Formats: sequence, structure tokens, C-alpha cells
Amino acid sequence: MSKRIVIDPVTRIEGHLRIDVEVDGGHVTQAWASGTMWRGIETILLGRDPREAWAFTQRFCGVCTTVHAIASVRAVEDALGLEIPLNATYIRNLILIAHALHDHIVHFYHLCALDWVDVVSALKADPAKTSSLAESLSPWERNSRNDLKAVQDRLKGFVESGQLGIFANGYWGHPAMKLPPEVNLLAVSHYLQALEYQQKANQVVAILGSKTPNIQNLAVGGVANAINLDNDSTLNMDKLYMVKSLFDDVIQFVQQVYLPDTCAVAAFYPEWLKYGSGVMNYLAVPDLPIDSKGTAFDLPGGIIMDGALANVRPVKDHHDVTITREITENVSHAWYKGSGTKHPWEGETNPDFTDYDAAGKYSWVKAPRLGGKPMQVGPLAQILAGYAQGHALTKKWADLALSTTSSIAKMQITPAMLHSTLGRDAARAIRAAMLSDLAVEHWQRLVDNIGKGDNETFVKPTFPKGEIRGVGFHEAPRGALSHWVVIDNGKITNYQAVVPTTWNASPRDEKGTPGPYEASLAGNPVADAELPLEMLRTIHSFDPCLACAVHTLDPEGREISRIKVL
Amino acid sequence: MRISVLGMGNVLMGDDGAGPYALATFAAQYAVPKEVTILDIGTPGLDLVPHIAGVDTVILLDTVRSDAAPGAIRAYDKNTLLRAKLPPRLSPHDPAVGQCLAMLEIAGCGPREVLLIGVVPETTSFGPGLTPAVQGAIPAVVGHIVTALRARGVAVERRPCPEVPDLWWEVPVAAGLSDLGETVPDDRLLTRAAQ
Repeated sequence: MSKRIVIDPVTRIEGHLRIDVEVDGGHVTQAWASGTMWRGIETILLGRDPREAWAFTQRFCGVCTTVHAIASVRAVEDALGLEIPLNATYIRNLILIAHALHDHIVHFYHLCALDWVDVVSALKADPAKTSSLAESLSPWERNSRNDLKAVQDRLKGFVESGQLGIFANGYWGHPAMKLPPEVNLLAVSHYLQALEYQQKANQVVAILGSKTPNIQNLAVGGVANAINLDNDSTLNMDKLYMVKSLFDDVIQFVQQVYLPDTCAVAAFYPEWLKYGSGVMNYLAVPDLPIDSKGTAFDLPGGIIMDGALANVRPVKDHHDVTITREITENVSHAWYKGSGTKHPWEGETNPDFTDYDAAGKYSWVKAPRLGGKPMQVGPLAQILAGYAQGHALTKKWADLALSTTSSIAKMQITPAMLHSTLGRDAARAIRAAMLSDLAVEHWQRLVDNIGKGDNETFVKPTFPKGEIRGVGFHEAPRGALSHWVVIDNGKITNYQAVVPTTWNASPRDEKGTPGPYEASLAGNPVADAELPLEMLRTIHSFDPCLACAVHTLDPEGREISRIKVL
Repeated sequence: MRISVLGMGNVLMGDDGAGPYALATFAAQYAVPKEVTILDIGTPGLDLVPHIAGVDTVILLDTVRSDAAPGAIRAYDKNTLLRAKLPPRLSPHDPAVGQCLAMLEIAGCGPREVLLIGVVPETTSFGPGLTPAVQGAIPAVVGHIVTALRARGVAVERRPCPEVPDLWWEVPVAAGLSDLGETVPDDRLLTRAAQ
């Protein structure tokens, strides 16, 4: 007898993401992903000055601010054919790297770890045993017996006083929780340390972006950071060294804590390297340009269809015709007028809400497709595309992660196992490790370029009469992001954002083909329909961010979410 | 003593922008010592953490769900926020103020005191601008900020000539660029970045 489970947070007035699944015999048979809020923010840009669009787009979402700012200025610069100064390229890159490191750390420790870590079990751990286990995994200095004992005591105090509010949605004692107490204690300790290191990454964004959240230093044509090594109020050597020292701390945390922790979780849950593959078409765009023309990049892009790594197609730059011409969005199952398929430059945003109907329209999210196919985006897409092309930096960290996991699990973990729920989490840690190397490299590039006497950071844009079009791509923490702009006589006449979560949380298209969330849930086990921890594991592995974004607190604690079993 | 006044909410979503709106209005009318942080923080989710960690007093301005009428003002303290039921973690926005506070408490670096001044919204649907009910509550919210700061010993000075609040999101769509085909200096953005 099949059952239907609905996870429908109503935490915000307009809601976010709703997941419906049908469960039969302890496994998910079918799933539907629904974005429950209209994102019409594009319409606010119509008629505006393209130079100020980024200030609005970075308000799409309070978590992904920087990425929408960068994609927007890139779109307008693309329309103008504008090359920006090298310093501006490197400053933007450093901001993007810091933002991504921050985002990946927060995702693993503060959003996803509680799906795997049983906090209460950590109380049973032996701190001395935990410390020696930690030493076998990493040279990290903050894994001493005393450090771990202090965390355990603090945790004990919280459990005893009944103040476990923070972990109130943790599913401790759930049959799907399998880490030994010592690993749980280690994870809780790193969970708390991660708070410090994500702040350090965030400080880099604040120093270079003038402010965070919502950076202030971007401009169509470059950045607004003035460089003068002898001036306190501009970007000078002091500030650059502050950035370097913050990066050094974060790099150490990523390489010695985040990556080994991810490997340990994967090693203790090897069955989750089998579930959750879903859509095995992947799209990643290259990013972190190293020249001002945008012809060479430090992060690889590529397209993989049906999981066939051997047939990977590189995406060399942002003018690759596959990504500029073959991306479309379909609204057959989304609450917009009609059922058509359109290229983003022709895209329309005409809301037409009808009731939730799984067989008809059931989401505010449009269905993006590449050449008619659903695509999975995110760190896994980038890691697989890089790995398949033999990209050296990708191979360095992916091979280390695979061999570390294999040795803890005492079984062979292969690249093919990355097509999975835990594969997505592992890929994010691998990408963070790559970015940690690139942080140093791009910092050095900036310092060297300034050392040559180049202080340029901005070129003034000129808008022609008539219509121009541009697209700004960015490989954001959650995957391939694109902003599409049409400008006529210097005013915006169309603006569409195809965001990573639109790709991954896509509803079915006109052919009924499910999107990545929907496909990845099929086959997932569900031990207890009232506590669908396993579904959350798969959904969290995509790092969903659908908010775009209403934020209203509910301190009076009325119903704020529900998990319904029908 | 570190004190932060943070305006939360999405300025593009109707009354959800009440926090940033009240903050901008306060900053235009009053001057505070530079030790007091005044920040429009958007909808930060867990990114709130660095802005409240280790701070003595955090004054948060936000919209709140309540049975009271739109425009009503409600105040909450740290314990109330810590007691509020937490939503399931689906997206990075779900860990909101409550979870950020709880995490910092366990880590031992939470703010000493939190005062949330909340306005009950009428609509938080898409588009900038406040409804009259919420707009009408802004002067009272500003008054509460002033009172709260002064009660904590902060010298809050009324500006002799109030500035125009920086409500850049409400600036109407411009008539377009008048200087097509010529170089266009981006002075406004440069000025803002330099501040």
C-alpha cells in the first residue's frame, strides 16, 4: 500500500520548498518538488539603468547575494563587449572564492551535518579515544582530549537543561544514524569550530566588498576599490595581508577538518554512495577567469550526459554556443501562463496561479533544460567535469578524498560512486579544497599585478543606441547561474535569472521528465514515514536555496512547518 | 561595549522591508557614536552569525508574525527567541535568528542581550514599498530604537538637519540614460562604495 509524505515548511509567509513523495515498501517511488513562492523579482528591473541592476539582483536572496551581483555585472558587460581591468578580475575572484568557502563550510556543518551526526550520542564518547581517532585522520591542532572534553561537558550542560533547541530537528536515535559516539563527538566539536572559520571567510568578503552582506564594491566595468598602497582608506598592503591571513586560517580548516570529516561521514555511510543519483546529466560553467578577456579559467566547465564521463564535453568559456543558445525554460508544470518553452532572452514571467496539481501545474519554479534535457548543477557537476577532463587541481583533491574514504571504509570507493547523495556532499568538500588552493594563487596574482604598477580597477561603460543582449555566467556555490539581459537604448527591456536551484528543483517538463530533486529521491529508503530523515539527506545534498526571499520571524511559535503523512 | 542595530528583511518584498526601512529612517534622523554598528542585513539566514557573535547588545528590526493588527509593534528578548520552535532545515534560510542564537550559545559566544523590535506586516508579496499601516508604524519603531539605545547609555543625538533616508530600492525607474553613446561615469556607485 503506497503512502504519500509531504514536507511543507510554512516558515515564511510565502513558503519555500515543498517536497511530495510516494512511498511503497519502504522506498520512494515518485517525487514532486515545488517552489511555493513566486519569484517575480526580474520584473522590478524592467526599464531600469543596467548599471544599477546588480544592486537589486543581490537582494534576490540574502544568502546568495554576491553571486547574483557578479552574474548581473557580467551580463551587462557581455552585452557591451566590455573588458574589465585585471585587478578587477582578481578582486572579484577573491570575493567569489571567499564567499564560496564560507558557503560550503556553512552547508556541511550547519545545514547538512545534523542529518548524519547524532548529537546526543556524542555524550557517550570517550574524549581520549576520540582524540586519537582524530589524530589518525588529520594533523588539526584543535582535536586534543581537553578540547573534546570541554565540548562534551558543554553539550552535557545543554542536554541536561533541556536547551537543545538548536538541535531540535535533529533525528537522534533514528535507525538511520550510524556514526560511533566518538565520530559524533568529533563532528559536534567541528560544528562549533566551523562557526569561527565561516566568519573569517566572511570577513574577506567584507574587506574586499566594503560590506557584507550585500557587497558595495561592484560596478559594471570593474570594481570600485581604489588601489593605493600608501593610502589607509584604499586597498593597500595592510588590507591585502589581512585578507591573506584570514584565508590562511580558512584554508587550514578546509584541508584539515572539512575534507577529512566529509570522508569520514562517507566512509561510515557507504550505502549513501548508492542512493540519490537521479539526473546524471551535468552542467558546469568555467569560472575564476585569469585574463581580462575571459579566455582562460582556473575552475573547469563541462557537460556530461547520462553519467558518461568518457564523453565529457568541455565548456571552454562563457561564449560557448551550447550554453548561450541551448538553455531554455519550460512552464508546462509551473504556475505561469501557457505551457511553452523559451530561451531566457525571450523569457516571460506572467504568473498564473492555479491549485497544486501534481498531474498539472505544481510549482513556481520553471523547468530549465539544456538541449531539451534536465541537468544537474552544483559542485558535483564541476568535479565530475574536471575529473573527466583530467584537470590537475580537481584530480589532486578528488583522488585524495577517494583514497581517504576508501582507507577509513576499508573498501574501494570509485569516482562512479560520486553519482549519489553523499557524492554531492563529498564533491562540495573537494571543491572547497580546490578553492583553498586557488585563494592563495589568486591573491598572489593580484599582488603581483599591483606590484607591476597597475592600479586600474574600472573602465567606464558606454551604452549604444538600439538593442543589445548579454548573458552573465557564474559557477556559484550551488552550481551554474546565468543572468540574461536585454537592453534597449540603455534601458533594461528583459531580465531573466536561471539560478542553480531552478535547475535542480525543476518540476517536470512538457515531456513529463522529472527534474534532479525529483529523480534523485526515487529509490531512497524511508524507514519511518513520520521522520523522513533519508529524504532530507538527499534534498540537503543539493544545498537547496529557493528563498529569493521573504524573511518574517515567528517568535510566537505557532505552526511553522509540517510533515504530513497521507 | 559593542552594540549593533540590524535591519532585517527583503526590501523588494513589500512590508518585509520594514526592518531596513526603519533602520534607514533612524540613521537619517539620529547620529550615534561610531562604536554602534548600524547595518541593513537583508535576509541572512545563518550569515547572521558573524554579525551577532560576541556583541553585547543586538537590536534587531524585523517583521514578525502575530495575531495583532498590521502595523502593531511587538518586542521580544533573547530567551523568547531561543524558546521559539525551530523549522526543519530545508534551505539555508531556515536556520533563522533562533538557530543562530542557539548555536552561538552552545559555542559560548552568543550576544549578551537581544532586543527584537518587530512590526506586524500586512502583505509581504512582491514589490518594494510599505503598506500605509506599516509605514505609519515606522516613527514609533525609530522612537523605540532611540529609547533602547539611551537606556543602555548610548549618546544618541538628533541630527539638526535630518538627512533624506537612503531608500535606494524605492527610487522609481529612471527615464533611461540621457547620455547614450558617451562615457558614463558611475559616480553614484563609486560614492556609495567609498562610504
